[in-house]
Amino acid sequence: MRLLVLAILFSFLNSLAHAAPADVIEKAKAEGKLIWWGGGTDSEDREFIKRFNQKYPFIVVDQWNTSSKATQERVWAEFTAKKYSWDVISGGSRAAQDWVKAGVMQKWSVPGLSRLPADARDPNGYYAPFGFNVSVPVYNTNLVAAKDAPKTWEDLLDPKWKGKIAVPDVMDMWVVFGQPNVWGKEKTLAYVTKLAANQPKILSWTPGLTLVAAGDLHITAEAFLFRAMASKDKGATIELVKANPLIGRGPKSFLSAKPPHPNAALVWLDWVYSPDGEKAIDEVLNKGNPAAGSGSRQAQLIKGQKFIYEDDEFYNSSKEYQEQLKNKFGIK
Amino acid sequence: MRAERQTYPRIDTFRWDSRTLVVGPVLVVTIYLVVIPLIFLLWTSFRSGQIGMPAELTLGNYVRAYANPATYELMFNTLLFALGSAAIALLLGIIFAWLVERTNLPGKNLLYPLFLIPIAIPGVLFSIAWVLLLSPGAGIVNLALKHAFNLAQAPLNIYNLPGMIVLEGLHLTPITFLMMAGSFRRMDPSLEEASDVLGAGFLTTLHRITLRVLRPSILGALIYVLISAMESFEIPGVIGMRAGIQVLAFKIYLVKQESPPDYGMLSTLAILLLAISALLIAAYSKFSRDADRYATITGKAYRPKTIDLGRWRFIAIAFVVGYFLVTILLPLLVLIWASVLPVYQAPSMAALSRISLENYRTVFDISKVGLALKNTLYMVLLAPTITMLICSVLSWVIVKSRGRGRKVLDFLTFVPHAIPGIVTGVALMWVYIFLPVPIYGTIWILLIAYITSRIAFGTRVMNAAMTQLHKELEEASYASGGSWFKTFRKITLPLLLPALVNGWIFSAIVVTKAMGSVIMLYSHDSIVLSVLVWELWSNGEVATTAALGVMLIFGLMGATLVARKFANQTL
Repeated sequence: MRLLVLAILFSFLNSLAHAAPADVIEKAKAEGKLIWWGGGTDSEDREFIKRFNQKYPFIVVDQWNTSSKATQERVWAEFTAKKYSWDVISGGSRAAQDWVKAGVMQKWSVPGLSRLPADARDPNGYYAPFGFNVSVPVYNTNLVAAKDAPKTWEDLLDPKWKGKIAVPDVMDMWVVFGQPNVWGKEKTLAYVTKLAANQPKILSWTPGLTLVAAGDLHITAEAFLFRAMASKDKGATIELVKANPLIGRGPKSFLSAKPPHPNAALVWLDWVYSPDGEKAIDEVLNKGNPAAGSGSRQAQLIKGQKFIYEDDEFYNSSKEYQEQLKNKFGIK
Repeated sequence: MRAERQTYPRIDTFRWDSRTLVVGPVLVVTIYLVVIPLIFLLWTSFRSGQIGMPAELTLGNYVRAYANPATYELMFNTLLFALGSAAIALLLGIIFAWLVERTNLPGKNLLYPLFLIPIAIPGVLFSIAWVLLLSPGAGIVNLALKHAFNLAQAPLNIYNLPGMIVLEGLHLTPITFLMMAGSFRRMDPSLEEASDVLGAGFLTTLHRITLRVLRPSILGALIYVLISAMESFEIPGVIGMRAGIQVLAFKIYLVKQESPPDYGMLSTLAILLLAISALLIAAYSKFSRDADRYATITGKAYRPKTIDLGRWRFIAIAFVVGYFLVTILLPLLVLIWASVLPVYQAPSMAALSRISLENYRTVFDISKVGLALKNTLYMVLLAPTITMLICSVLSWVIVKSRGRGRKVLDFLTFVPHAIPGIVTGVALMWVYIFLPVPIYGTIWILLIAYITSRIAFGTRVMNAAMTQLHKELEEASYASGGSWFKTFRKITLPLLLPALVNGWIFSAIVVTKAMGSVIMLYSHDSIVLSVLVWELWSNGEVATTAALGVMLIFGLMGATLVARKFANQTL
């Protein structure tokens, strides 16, 4: 509760001038440390921290970069043990609602949140997107000629891709397609039924992209745009499919219910959602806001394509529908 | 008193002496290490809901698991995968051990440390390497064959159950080799020589003498690799996932990855694995009940006869070279290739022009490499040493003592091996979160995980060696007034030294690459190299993973050679 009051006060003061309040900064300076569980690569996260330290050199950021799932497991374990070893997490988007219900997190607010798209924010104030992952189909240009490449989601149903296509293991994206304002459940289920007939290989995002880049598979239905961009920049013979619509989903920032360094955590969150932080998310992590007009690298890449943010509420209220999707794919 | 010492002591006859002071604490520690996590595992298997949340005891997890036809498909796949892999590993391991220990195979001294290298290649890297070599789409071997024979389709495919079985079998072969090599070396050849004198042929002697004498070791090795294959999730994860083939251990890993994790189902499936392994151990106990019949190491001095391979040596050399080609050279070459490219591509002139050592430089830029290296070194020095000392005492109790409950102890020491590493990690995590032992998040909990998971291997190695150690030597010591501790230290341990050192070297290598249990227990400060490799791979940094993997493998090769040299000078 005290932290919530502190966060509101901090938010108010910060809205007057974009700099962390002096007393919070002083306390953060005394804490001297922040424990941040990030979700990027080691080099990305370190570069991101370097940008933060340009403004706040007195806060040493102890970084642990690991997968979202590993983060989730550790959070549950520590919470159960009533241990609070971390301050801020960037990840674990699928666990968000469960964490909130369990009391793992606390509400927080910083002025920069107001610049985020309204449909990407948590209305209850527990978390906010830490950059955006855009899911795109990707194909190998050595195996698929540009003229034969899929252009739409429906093109992935072509029998010529039978056994040559990867889809993620948890059917996340298809859950989002089932939202009323996208395809709706019936169309999505029909689509997935046909896709299953193409005998896709069920692989997670990064392994799917890795195997497509290596030439082992022709197409992956879902790759993170930033990872695909990074691979392409390194010379991978891959190309993105500009299908409509694209789904925006990704890591979220969470503030621990009992952070060991509460003031440093607030200073960090303030910076992440400041123009400097947003710039670092775009330039260092390649996870800039893909919405038209944001000017981010992702926005330029998907220019002209319809784009939607995932709906957490829908995800959490559609367990039965998710089981139907899994059954269509033969996931037991 | 003297008369009492002339027979083997009973462990259930309590008295304050050196035996009690050593055996007692070791038994207590073993029960603590093995039983407590098992209790947590059982508890969570009967528990509904998420740990830490309101829950009740229920049979619901078992009902869900066993009412699902997919569970039986998982069991079938698991058994087929395990049996096939174990059969390959056992056959190859016995052949290689025999060639190295009992024949005049050229260069066999060099081969011994080489057999340790496949163990040093982490399962994830081994699997990735074989995907890059044999996948129908991008496998270098397939591309070469297609090009050479102008084929339209790739002739080989790694993405099927036979592919997984062969790879797992090849990967497990060094374990059976290590377990069998010591037995071949210590085996009294007089029976074989007698068979020769009586005119029996090579195959008859092999069948009727050699294999029968080695039966306890063979059974021990078989049971070990069977369960190793059952708990393996790296090859099923990389290749099985792509092929759409799931086995029980990897399914457990997938269940654990759900959010919130379904610990009830996780534990229930682990209990299923445990039940299968218990059945296997029961079968093993039945077959090895009269192990004393096979004791062939006595106080007599002997030198095993070296068999002249004659013209067969060329076939033997080709066989050995072929094995190293597929388990070391090809995987290593493809990993080196992946490590010098910015992003993986099949070999081509265009790819050649992009080669650089940039990824190796990047590895040293990773902030946690130094810390991971330091932690790994601590673990490599401590875990195998403590484990093998504990296992020596345990094996003495299991094999040589006459007390009640030693079979229970034998089972208990094997239990950690039956629990997938990842589940051991979860169980230990809960244990040390709830118990007032402040080691959660430190390297000490990793040490406990390593010791717990290595006890099974250590006792198998020491049991096999102890079984072949005839009791007359220890009885002579007791008869001469030696205490239990003095006899154990001066007679038993020195005689077991080859097995002890072999077990230590193997455990050190496994500790270096172990990942299953550690992944749930490490923190920023206790990260080890194996986890760092996994983190890099999980984050899609294939090239950096390959670079770190190559350095890890070469580092282990160097360390292994040094360890072998030291062992040869010492033994």
